[in-house]
Amino acid sequence: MRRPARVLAAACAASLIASSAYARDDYCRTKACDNHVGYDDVWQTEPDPPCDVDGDGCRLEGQPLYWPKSCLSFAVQQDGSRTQGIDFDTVHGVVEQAFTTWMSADCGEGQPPSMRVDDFSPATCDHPEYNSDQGNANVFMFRDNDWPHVDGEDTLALTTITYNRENAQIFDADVEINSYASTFTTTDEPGEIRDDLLAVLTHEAGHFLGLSHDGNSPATMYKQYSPGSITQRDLYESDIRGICEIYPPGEPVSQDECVPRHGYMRSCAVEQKSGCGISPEQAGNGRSAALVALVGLGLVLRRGRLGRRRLGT
Amino acid sequence: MLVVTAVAKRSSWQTIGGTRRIVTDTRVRVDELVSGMDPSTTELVVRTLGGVVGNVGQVVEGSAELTLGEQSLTFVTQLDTALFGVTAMGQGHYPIMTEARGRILRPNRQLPALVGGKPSAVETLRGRLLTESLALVRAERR
Repeated sequence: MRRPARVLAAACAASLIASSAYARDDYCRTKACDNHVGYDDVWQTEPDPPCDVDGDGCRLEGQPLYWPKSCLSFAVQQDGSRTQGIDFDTVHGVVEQAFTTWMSADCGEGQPPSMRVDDFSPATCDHPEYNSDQGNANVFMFRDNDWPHVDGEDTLALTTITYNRENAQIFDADVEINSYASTFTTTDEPGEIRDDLLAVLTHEAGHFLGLSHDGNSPATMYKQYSPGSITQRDLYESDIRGICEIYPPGEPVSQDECVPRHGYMRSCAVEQKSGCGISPEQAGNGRSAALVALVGLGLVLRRGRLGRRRLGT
Repeated sequence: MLVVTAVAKRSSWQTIGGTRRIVTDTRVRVDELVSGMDPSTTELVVRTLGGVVGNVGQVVEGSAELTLGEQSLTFVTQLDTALFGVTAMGQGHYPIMTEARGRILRPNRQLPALVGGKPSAVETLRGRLLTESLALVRAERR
């Protein structure tokens, strides 16, 4: 049975969480089960140690990836999708809604997951990257002009997570949306929905938060999407169990700004090196954010110190 | 489409579509050539997204992951003269496991990325005997 996250009764959610400690983990966490440290031009031939998976392909071993300080930030790329006619404000609203859905999961007695999400939008960088010696941004971006991966027509979106091999802390996450080979819609009209952007990005936000695919076909984190469907806009029981167990309610959450590793950088690294970049402080000043209380969700969007929005506890 | 065994791999930072990424190149021995390849092919290099270089790891949800020493049924797409990618990412890679009833296919460790539209090959092939799967694919290609 499907349960929209935002209307779950507290008692029902409490019951879910209470029982989950004894239930099979039907959600799946993204885990690092790294077998070899690779270096350019060195072929590794030692057999990989086992890294068992369950019947759905979910890793049973390895270190679960996680955001340090229960705190993450995202930035939506400023161009939106010109080919799909989706402007920045629209996609930004969709991404914000996707994270709100996860952060308003009822983990019992109305408590949300202990995770804070800061909004650093907009970003100018239009491709995924991780910079080990300068600022970063966790960017949601459309790919209008090309899809550089094999067989683009099979993939709606792709999340790349970069992490610290030593402790599984996430350094960076970027989401590429395949507008080159898909037709995204943002409407609620059933007959007009093609690839529903909110459903797709709620799924990708789940990856962003550290969840992998699970085997429950109604779940947001189910691996497949049926065109025209909005089912994955809302969380299923396994999604709620997953987010609430990764970020248990009541745990301390950093009160500092959720700055990406090495500081927020709105532009791509090459641009910064060539003098076209802007400093982290400059980056936050361009966007206004109103103080909005979402009554009933225990959730507040508020201006961060640098003019950024904040989601979650 | 091939039955291969991964024999060596290396990870490195490469630029793909203007993006610096960690990729893993896996050298595979061709155990059985099913279709679509030069019959003289005995070994090739398959590139997948993600891997570890130094202390930095990268995970790309949906990318195929080949394990050294493991045999798999793999659908490949040529990227360059000597370089191949896995067709449809994790949907094109099926590790082979030996059970009492024979050699069966299991899904890739990384299930496919969010895909839409078409019936999933994973749902069709997972848990099937290798011989049965090869017959299905060959029939589909006729």
